[in-house]
Amino acid sequence: MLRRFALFKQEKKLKCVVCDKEIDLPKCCKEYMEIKGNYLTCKYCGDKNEVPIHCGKQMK
Amino acid sequence: MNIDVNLLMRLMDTLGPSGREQEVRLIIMKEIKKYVDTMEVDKFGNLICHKKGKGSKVMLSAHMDEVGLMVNEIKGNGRIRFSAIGGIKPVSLVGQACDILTRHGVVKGVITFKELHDDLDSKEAPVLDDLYVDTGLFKNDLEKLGVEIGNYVVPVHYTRFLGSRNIISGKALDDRVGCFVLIELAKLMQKTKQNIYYTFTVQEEIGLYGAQTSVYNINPDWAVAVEVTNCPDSEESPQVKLGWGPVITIKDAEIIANKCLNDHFVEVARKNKIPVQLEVTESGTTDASKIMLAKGGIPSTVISTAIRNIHSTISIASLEDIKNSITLLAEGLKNAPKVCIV
Repeated sequence: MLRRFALFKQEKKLKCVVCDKEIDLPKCCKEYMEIKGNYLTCKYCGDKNEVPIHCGKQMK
Repeated sequence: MNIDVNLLMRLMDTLGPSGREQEVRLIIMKEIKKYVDTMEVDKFGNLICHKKGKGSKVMLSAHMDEVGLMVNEIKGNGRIRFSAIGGIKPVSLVGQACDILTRHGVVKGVITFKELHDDLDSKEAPVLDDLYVDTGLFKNDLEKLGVEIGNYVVPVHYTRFLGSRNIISGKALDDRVGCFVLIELAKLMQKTKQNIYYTFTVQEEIGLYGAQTSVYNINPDWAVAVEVTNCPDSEESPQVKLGWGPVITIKDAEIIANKCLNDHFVEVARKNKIPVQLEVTESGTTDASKIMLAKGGIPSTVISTAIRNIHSTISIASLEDIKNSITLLAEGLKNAPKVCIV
């Protein structure tokens, strides 16, 4: 049985929930950061940044 | 019905991630050659075994490959990162012993992640990028041993019985069970008049590619993908349960199976008192979805054995279900439909 979920690559873009503008996820320790709640987190060094705001709302 | 359980265990324990199915293919060739008229390995690596006969051309397909891993980065500290071959849940890899298959031989390792290694709290299940193979060696030593990008990494696990001699557990049940069912079926169908192509495909787990190429040359009248399916029977009202018989797919994530074929197999099951389960699932698809769309369209369905913990080294199946899959196919082929237009 083929399960396709793992064939898709990790999401590397942030999208504005209002205007659909996309920006690249920032990198840290040479890897894309992960969205955890309201923060972008580096899975290697633990560094945290707030998820950017676009059109007045937090991007996703 | 007597089945060769040792053969099933040997098929399961043999390493054969997508693109490296040769060892599995050799075992199948050795076992099936007495029961078919011709055997051919096509240019893509599929094994096509033909039992000549009259009537409609039937393609039975099972894939030889299994999910696995491939080295994509070797860090200076010796941590080996990997890419997934097929749909593996990362959490199922944590703590696995594994072999890295290099040009010079096998290098043994374990799959771990930072939080485990550094004794940190981990609130979330690790993702694939969190995991690495630890061999205890640094990059220079690994390079001397032949570890390089593109090496296969295979979790090591041996098949065993669980609660009873009817419950078998191990890796690669997907789809060595299907391969085993076809071999046992070939034994049963040896002296019958059906025109059957037992097709053992490659690279199913990364995109159903072996089925896509093999069906083109066979051009069957109809086809059955002989598979396994996920058995989430820890839920309250599961659609599919372990030990409740073979599973006939009505719809999976990508296809609606041929109704005429499904009706035929359901009727065969009823007449022969074989327990069957019907499935509508979102959790994956099979070779049937490529076969169905080949040429001018090939009526196809899927007959599966239910397994728990699919795509892991701790998959679980019932031997009774496997026996019933063989019987269902054998009885279904005896009075096979000639045309299957819905």
